Amino acid sequence: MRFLWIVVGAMLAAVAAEGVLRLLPVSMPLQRTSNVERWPLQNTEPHTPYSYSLGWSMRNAHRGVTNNYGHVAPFDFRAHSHPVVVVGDSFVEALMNDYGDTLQAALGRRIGAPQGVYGLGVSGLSASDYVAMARLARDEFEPRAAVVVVVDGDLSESLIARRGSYHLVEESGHLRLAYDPVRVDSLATRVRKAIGELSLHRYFQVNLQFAPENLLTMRAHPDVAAHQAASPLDTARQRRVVDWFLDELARGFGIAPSCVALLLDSDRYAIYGPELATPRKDAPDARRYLIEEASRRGYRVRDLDPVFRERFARDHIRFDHYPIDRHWNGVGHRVAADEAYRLLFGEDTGGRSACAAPGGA
Amino acid sequence: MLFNSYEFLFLFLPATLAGFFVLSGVRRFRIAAAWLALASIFFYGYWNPRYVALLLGSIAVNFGAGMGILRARADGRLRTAHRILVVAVVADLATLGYFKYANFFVENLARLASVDIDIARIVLPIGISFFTFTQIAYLVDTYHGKVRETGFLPYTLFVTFFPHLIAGPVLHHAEMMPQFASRETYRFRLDNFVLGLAFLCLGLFKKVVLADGIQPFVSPVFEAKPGYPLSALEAWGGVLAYTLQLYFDFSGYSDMAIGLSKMVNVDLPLNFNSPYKAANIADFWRRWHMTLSRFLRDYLYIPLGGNRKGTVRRYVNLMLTMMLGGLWHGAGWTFIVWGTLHGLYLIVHQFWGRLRERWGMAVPANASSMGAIASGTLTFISVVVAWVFFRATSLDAAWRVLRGMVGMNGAALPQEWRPLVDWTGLFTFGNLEQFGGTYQLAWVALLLLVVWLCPNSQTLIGRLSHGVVVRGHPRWSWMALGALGFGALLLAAINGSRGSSEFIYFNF
Repeated sequence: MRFLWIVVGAMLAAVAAEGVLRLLPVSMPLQRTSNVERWPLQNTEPHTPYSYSLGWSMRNAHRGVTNNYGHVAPFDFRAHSHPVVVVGDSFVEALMNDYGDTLQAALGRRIGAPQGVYGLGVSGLSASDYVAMARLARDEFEPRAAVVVVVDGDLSESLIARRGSYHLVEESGHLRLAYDPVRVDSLATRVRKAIGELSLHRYFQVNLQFAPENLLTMRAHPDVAAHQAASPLDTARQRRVVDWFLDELARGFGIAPSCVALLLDSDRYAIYGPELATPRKDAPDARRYLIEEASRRGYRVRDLDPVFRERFARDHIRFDHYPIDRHWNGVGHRVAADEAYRLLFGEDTGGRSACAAPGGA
Repeated sequence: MLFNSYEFLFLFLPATLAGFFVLSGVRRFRIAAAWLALASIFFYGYWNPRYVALLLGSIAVNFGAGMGILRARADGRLRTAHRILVVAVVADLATLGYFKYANFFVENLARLASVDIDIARIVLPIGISFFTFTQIAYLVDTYHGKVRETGFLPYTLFVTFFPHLIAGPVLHHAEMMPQFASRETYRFRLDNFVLGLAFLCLGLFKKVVLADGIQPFVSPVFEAKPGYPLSALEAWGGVLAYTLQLYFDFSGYSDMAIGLSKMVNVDLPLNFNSPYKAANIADFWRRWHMTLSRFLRDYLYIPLGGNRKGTVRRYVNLMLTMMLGGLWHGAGWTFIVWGTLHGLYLIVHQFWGRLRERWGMAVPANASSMGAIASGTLTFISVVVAWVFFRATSLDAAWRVLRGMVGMNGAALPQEWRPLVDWTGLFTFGNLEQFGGTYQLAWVALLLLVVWLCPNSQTLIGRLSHGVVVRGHPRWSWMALGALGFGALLLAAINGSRGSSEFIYFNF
């Protein structure tokens, strides 16, 4: 009986915590759609509420509702509407910013078509997923131009098989895109979904990144070994990923490489102070190769590192939610949007942008 | 092993408690005490096994010296007892001096003599200040004939008892050894267990949520680059954040220590009593780190002569006590300045009190609320200013912060506030890199409200004790146990989400 009363006490405390957390902006990630054929274009359930907050104190809270394609935008996307598409991972998904503070919103303002730029960002994507996204975007929207945000890890993670993601496999000396499906509609999935509705569970799992195995291994923080520098072997493999990526990307979008802008993020913390530099997951040599090779093939490329450095030296304003979150803040997104505009529609095109919409920018 | 870590909360503590209560349950009291002592030594060794020998050696030497003093006193050989006391205390202070002050002494000597002396950096064994002081008190009281218990096991447990070993409270043998010798200690008592867990959870909350929550605003100010001009808002924001962090960190640790101890039916003395509500600086020292204040009074201030040798000697004794109290916290000029400042505050307070008496202006018991608020505010600001030296890594760094606090680098507000207050035309705005904006302001304001308006831990737990544990049915206590266990898990997970976070007083 004593044990029973202890359990009852713990349950009551959990119920009280659930009640309190329901009033607070606990992270509620986007709900992944069961329609695997259209993934990652239709990544999450359409018209579904989500909330974002960071860490134990639920900082930088944002709430919203996904649009008809399950993406984060205050308007619905229209099929075959020839938009400019912005592809990337959580940087483009940008749950940590208001929509107005995103690359896609800023670029839309710059080209005078606020609803003419579609952000197709999905957390956790890598270069291999970007190509899959490009192909689906071509069939669905027929984009006239594209911006792809490449961040650290995009090349190395393309080689890792992850459930529910595209990755590259070696086949007869060539790289081939493969998809590792998630099991949907199983009982376990439904139970997980039901538990996922609980704020207490989401607080533990998303905000605190707590897993029961942390208790067993007595490991305080799950991200201790998250960043490991690339080895020479990784470098060679990542260069092959670059070749494959550049072969497939413009073809995937169905547009000329000159209408695809590649924006390469940098280690911004290293700009704020050398002691804050983080080991890179993608080999610096592979990153350099991507810049050189993409330029050679006619893509519009911008390494954002010197851009960020110059702006930081001038304004001393940071481009991210330092020190709690490396994702770009509104300033970082505006810098990226300015560069994307220059590459696709501005002075870098010599005034002869081939990507402009009929009758406009 | 930190009190707020997974390994402590979910491995060490359950195993230690289980062993203790099982052995107590089968009436193996001495083995239960030995188990607790062994667990405490393991707890100490988990941090760095090399210093276990130092701890055990210190215990053996001091216990042996204590027995020698007792025997000499019993035989009427007081001079021998005195000699043993002096030798043992000198040995204690020499050990503490070597580990804690050798680097400081040599560095300053080298600077004075303008020579390069290269000595290896000596690592400070954790808790050495605490276990040295408790044992010196034991020796002095043995010499004065105040020690009754002579068992080695209770003594070892008194020194090593894991709840207080690393960062206090500073214990007195007279309040601890009888508890370890009492059979009442060796049984499971649900009421004590629940109250102990409640103290532990409250301490965890103070540390994990409040102290670590406000901590990110401290370092940017105290570790700003030397050339950076700290504005008044940045400097005050950082210093107030530290003022609150230090209080919640240390009082949180003390609450956890009290709670852990209570779970095994041992009462530790309280260490805090709402210090930031103090009406004057003497009152502050009666409320802040109360066990250290008691130690400094009983074993330093009073032996120096206290207030028995005239006004001037009284002030000198006060100043010496506070300076040495500062030095006890750490080997550095910043700590000496911090202690000196508090010595000065106390002298001014005493001098002012004497003047008022002489002028017939003694403070009535029912002093006006305005007067109390003014006095309390002055005390708080004085304490905050002194904390600058306590936290700064050098005197230069402290001056930089103080210059910012008095507005020598301007008093600009952050740009984000421009839309709110620009219409007044009173303020300038700037890019305040070391200020966390509205978020920091909210944290500081909230925690100030907590320290000024909320009841302290002992009051809160007293209410729980009265409401649930004493008046309620035992099932309420079991349910409280479950609820508190869930609370501990939640707080440990919050702590784990940020990596480990040490307690500030581990450095002393």
